[in-house]
Amino acid sequence: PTMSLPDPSTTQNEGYVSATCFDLLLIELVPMAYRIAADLAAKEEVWLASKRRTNLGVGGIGGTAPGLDEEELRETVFFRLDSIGYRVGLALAERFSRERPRFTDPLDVIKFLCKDLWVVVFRKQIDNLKTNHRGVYVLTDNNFKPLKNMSLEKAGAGRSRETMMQQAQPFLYFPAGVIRGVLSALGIQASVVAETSELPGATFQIRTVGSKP
Amino acid sequence: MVVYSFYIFDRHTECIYTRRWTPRPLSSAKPARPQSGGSVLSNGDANTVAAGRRGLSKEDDAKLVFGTIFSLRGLVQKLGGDDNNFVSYRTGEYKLHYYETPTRLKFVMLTDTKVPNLRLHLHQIWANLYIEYVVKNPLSPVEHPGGIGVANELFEGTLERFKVTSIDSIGER
Repeated sequence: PTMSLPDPSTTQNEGYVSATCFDLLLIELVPMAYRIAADLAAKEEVWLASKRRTNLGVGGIGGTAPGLDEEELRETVFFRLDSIGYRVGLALAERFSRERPRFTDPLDVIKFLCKDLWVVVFRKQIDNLKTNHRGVYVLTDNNFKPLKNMSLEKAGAGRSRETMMQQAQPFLYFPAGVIRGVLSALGIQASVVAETSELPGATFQIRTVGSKP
Repeated sequence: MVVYSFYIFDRHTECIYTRRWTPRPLSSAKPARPQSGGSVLSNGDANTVAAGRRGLSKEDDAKLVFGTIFSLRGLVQKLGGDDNNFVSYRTGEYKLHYYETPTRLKFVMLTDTKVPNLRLHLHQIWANLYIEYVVKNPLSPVEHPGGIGVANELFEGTLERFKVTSIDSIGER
């Protein structure tokens, strides 16, 4: 006899979560990552300063720059959000590939990602998939959910587009991590680069290990 | 139906958004031009000219409007009890419509006198435009001191379209 656990996806009027809550949670991930990075940097600075004072021979590690600079901060934030996304992706793949037979072909895995998983997380499918059949895949979403409501004051057209792309970038780190996690759970090691050239569209470049560019 | 202006005040009683559609005074030959933006970042010269009859700068204008609605709201509640809410008032020249959300966000719109009550429209602006393009905008901060983050492209664009389709066409059936 099989155990019949209640399946949230099939019970009616139960197990629904507000989509807005989800959106707002994902939005807050990015500022939180920045705050944590700045916080840790400040603490490290205090710790280093105290070490130098008591002369325990630690001094000089990592230079004496106060806190992190812009580039390092962004990398820390990227790493944090990507790791969070990775863990989420691992779990998502586990949960939502239940009813499917084993994937034989990497392309099948990518198709699963584009159709089923994207619908689960973002309520729509990927709009365009390109591949060079040698391990590189480019996924394009023309109306990417996290970027859908994003805009800035239009203060001077040219420069603000760049800053908008720059500011939008961190919001792509988490989804890129999710993709990496899903692929990893289904047996594909890959690196994922997310970009946006025009809001609200986003492209994800997946480069599987051992592929040729 | 002519809409003259639109203001949003946040719960810290600060004006976070103003938008004007007043036609310029007859002395200049230019056509009506919408002006927008946070009250702090306005261009002094253009505003005093386009302020028209009132001749006030944007900041003063917003403060005056806020003072009016704040006093009226308090008055109405004292006279009629806590359940009563100030909805709109009309003078010989214009009508002011007021909508306040449970989060104490205040939406004010000034139109000509023939417009029926726009409370529902203000509610829609809040629910469909403000919430979508300001609250759920990842790039817009949580608080908006001086109007930061409110006057972004998507919000202004859709506000303009909403005004044109829903409000300007009232009475043109």
